[in-house]
Amino acid sequence: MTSRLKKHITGASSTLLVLSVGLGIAGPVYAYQGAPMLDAAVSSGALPAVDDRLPSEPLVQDVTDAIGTYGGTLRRGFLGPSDHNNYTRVVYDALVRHAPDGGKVVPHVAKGWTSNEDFSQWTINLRAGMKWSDGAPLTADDIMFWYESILGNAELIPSTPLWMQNSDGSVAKVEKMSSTAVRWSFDQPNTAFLLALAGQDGADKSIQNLVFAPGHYLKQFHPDFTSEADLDAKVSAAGFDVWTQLFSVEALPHLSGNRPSTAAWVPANGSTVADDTFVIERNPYYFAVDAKGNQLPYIDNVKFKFFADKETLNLAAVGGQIDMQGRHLAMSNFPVLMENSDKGGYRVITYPTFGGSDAVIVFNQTYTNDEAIGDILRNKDFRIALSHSIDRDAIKELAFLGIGEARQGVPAPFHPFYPGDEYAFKYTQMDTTISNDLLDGIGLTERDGDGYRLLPNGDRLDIEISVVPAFASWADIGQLVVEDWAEVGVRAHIELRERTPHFAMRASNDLQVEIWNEDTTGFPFSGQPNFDPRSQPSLTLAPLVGKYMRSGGNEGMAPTPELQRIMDIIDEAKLSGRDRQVELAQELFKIWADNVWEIGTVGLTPMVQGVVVVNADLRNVSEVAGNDWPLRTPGNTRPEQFYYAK
Amino acid sequence: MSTATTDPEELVDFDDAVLVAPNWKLVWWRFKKHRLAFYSGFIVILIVIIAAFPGFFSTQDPYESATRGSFMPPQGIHIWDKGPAFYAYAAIGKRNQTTLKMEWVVDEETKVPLRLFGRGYEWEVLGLFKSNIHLLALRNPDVDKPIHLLGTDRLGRDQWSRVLYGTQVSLSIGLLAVFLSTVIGIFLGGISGYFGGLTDMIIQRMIELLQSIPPIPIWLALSASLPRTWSVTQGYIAITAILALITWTGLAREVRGRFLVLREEDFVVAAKMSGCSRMRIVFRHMVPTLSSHIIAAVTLAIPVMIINETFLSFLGLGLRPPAISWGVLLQEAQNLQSVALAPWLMLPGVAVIVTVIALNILGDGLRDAADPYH
Repeated sequence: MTSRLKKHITGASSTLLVLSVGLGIAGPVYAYQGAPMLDAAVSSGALPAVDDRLPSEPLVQDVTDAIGTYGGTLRRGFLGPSDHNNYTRVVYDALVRHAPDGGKVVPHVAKGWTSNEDFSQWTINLRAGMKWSDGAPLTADDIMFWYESILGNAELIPSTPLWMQNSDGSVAKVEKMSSTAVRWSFDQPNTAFLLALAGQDGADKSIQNLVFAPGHYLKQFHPDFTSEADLDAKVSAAGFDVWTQLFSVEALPHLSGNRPSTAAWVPANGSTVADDTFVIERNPYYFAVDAKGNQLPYIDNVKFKFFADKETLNLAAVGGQIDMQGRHLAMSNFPVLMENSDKGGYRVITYPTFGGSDAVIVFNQTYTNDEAIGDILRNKDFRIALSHSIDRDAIKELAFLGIGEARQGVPAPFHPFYPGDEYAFKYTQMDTTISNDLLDGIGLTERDGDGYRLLPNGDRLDIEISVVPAFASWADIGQLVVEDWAEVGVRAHIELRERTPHFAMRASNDLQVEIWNEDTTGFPFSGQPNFDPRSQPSLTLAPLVGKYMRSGGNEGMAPTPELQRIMDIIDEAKLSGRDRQVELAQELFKIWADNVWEIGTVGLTPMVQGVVVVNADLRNVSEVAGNDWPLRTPGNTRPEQFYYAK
Repeated sequence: MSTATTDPEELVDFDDAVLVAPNWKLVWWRFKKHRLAFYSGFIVILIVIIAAFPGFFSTQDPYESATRGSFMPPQGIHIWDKGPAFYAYAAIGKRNQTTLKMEWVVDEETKVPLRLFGRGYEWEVLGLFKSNIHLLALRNPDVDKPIHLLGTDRLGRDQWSRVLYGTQVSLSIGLLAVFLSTVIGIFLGGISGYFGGLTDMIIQRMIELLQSIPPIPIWLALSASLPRTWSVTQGYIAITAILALITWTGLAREVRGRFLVLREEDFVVAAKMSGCSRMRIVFRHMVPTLSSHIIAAVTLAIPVMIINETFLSFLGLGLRPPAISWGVLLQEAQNLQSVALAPWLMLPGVAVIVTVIALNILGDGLRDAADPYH
């Protein structure tokens, strides 16, 4: 301990040492400083001293502007248990993270990584002496526990996630090299490995998205380590039917409330996302310090207050009751937020998206509930016709406060993956003559008494657009689109659904058309990109193709050549160097825009979680940051180094 | 009739006219004395006329959105410009580049001349034929931008026209639903009270069952189960039926109670003796004696129905856009930007309040007048 202490004394703490000696302060002297909130526990012996809590090589976290001071509560609003990603985005607890601007992957829980020449083997190095939030050591065994007992358990994870697959679909090999090193071996080069790893943070309430887990805690819920009788008793006591349900809850901190984690804040006293106020408090064993040796996070705790609906949450933001949040704040409220910012004691910053389109109309390519509707959704001319009939200028003015640009769901012009203006603006010109000609051309010539087109079989054509009103004013956009389509004789109606039924219908292939945002354009080759029918969860692009690919062609629907090409591109890009990846990405987005499986409307706006309210006293919040789901914004801006100036 | 039960000595003070006047005349005289109810009646008639011809009174197609016309505040009409005139000032909207708010300035340089009974967009008269004549119209519709008496909503749609079309839907749903529930109530209450016995037992238990379930959850469940593919018209009819199917029980109870008393009356016995069929006795002889009472009950039930439709739609469970009703309009105003930036979008609430109060006072007056002998 003494040698470790000496080795890691930083400049700042030696100053402190000198100072404290100079002032004649008695008592122990540490290499690092901990939060005053924990002083009582440390002096009573309930908690080890800060030096013993930190790993031997803690992460030295950059701060956005200045070294901070301890204390305070970060208040956020959430919409209940289904809003679990509200938590995920704050803690962003992964082995490696995306940098704030999204430009690269940086070490986080993992100290670093190495790979072999052809990128088929990756070694992840952990921090020696690193601890879980309950003080138990975090070692390579915790990755091996995930690999052997979670990923390797067919009941928990029936089909291997894409990122862990070899080219033949078998599971990649993971080996423990030492207590702090784990090696992944793929049978082919895998250049997207780190990007994939940056998304394995338990997001989406899915154990699919884990890559390390506290074996010492979870073994009590796993049949390989616990007797059947004990486990059954626990399962029924928790009100579940099978052990996998209990395990899936206990494996994620925000559902379990007790599961140790490595995040900056951990659930306080068993608090979960099912609570009215979900409280997470300082993790005394958090592995990062600032450049002066202060253990992070600066802020003591984060409180997620439950709001029954989005409007009251927005009202709370206007009233200054939210300290840092972009999620659920409607861009349409931007003027109200701006006008009340002085009174509410906050400032408003915007994080425009990386590209894509902030409201896209996704057409299910494998819809089978109604054969005639399914055929029409698969018809490319139909989709082109509908794209040309949309008045994007009106959508921009009425739903996007006049900002952004009309575009398809491709990356931003400044992004290397940008496929060119021709594709970004393909089919976005409003021209009802083109629309009507195309619609007549595909046999939708008969009309009913109200002037709406009939299907070739004589049935009424009526498309259901499923909209989740949780984000953005997609319902209004849907309404404008419905009116535009009516102009060319295509009847459609909006169906407002809550997130949960909407997602369930996505998965069960029951959605015809949905409105969502085209995020992930900066990351088409990692995580769960919207372009890949195999993604889970995916948009409603082609659920049966996903099923087909996962079942090895036994179930579902075979992909069209275009969709097959998209998947081939993604697979090839994972094995390719950067230059080839850029080429492939551009090809992907050309195919994407050309086939209009998703009709883009307006993009490059801060509509989706990009209007951010920040407490006037909160510091170290990035003014500019990448905003995308893979980045877990604001997780990528390092909330653990936010602090209050007063 | 019911004069038989009145103490004859009370009649001495009445004028001769009163003694010989038919029942409806007595009701009318009594009603006229209730000043508030009398004026409420006028308001109700006005509202009914608007509901019948919303297109005539509106200034713009209620569905038409304007790309750069969101959140325009209400515009005033001016009738004096160094002499009688009829115009409004043009409004110029510009987006504030810092707050991104649409800010409107009245341009006092530019006058938009108006006229009465001018031409505008085409509307359907009672679904029979089309007309393009409006009470208030632009003098130069080809040049000037439309005026918005109650401002515009977030999509730039004319709030005045939307409130008027909402009047049609909300009022007619109230009327239709009450009509349906009255028919069901009188029919079931009538046969229940007249026949008694097992019939009465079954119907009364059914009523108790329906009354024991709180109405709001049933409405919510029924409305939520409506197929979303239904058109606006189908949804409208379904909501009407749902409202009616739950609310007939009160009236049925009242009718039954009356019938239990009436069926022992002399005139009923007389009709029975003359060999009238049971249905004829019920609906030809007994129901008319209750008519004044029923009218009063119905008038009081309409505002309740309007409120019901409004709250169902407000919760997003009744009518939904693109249908326009007061509830739908209020639901669309149920957000921060409307409350903070466009308070005029709350005006449909005023329409609801005025209509409901007018109907309630009218119903009150009618109920007082309905039994002129007391």
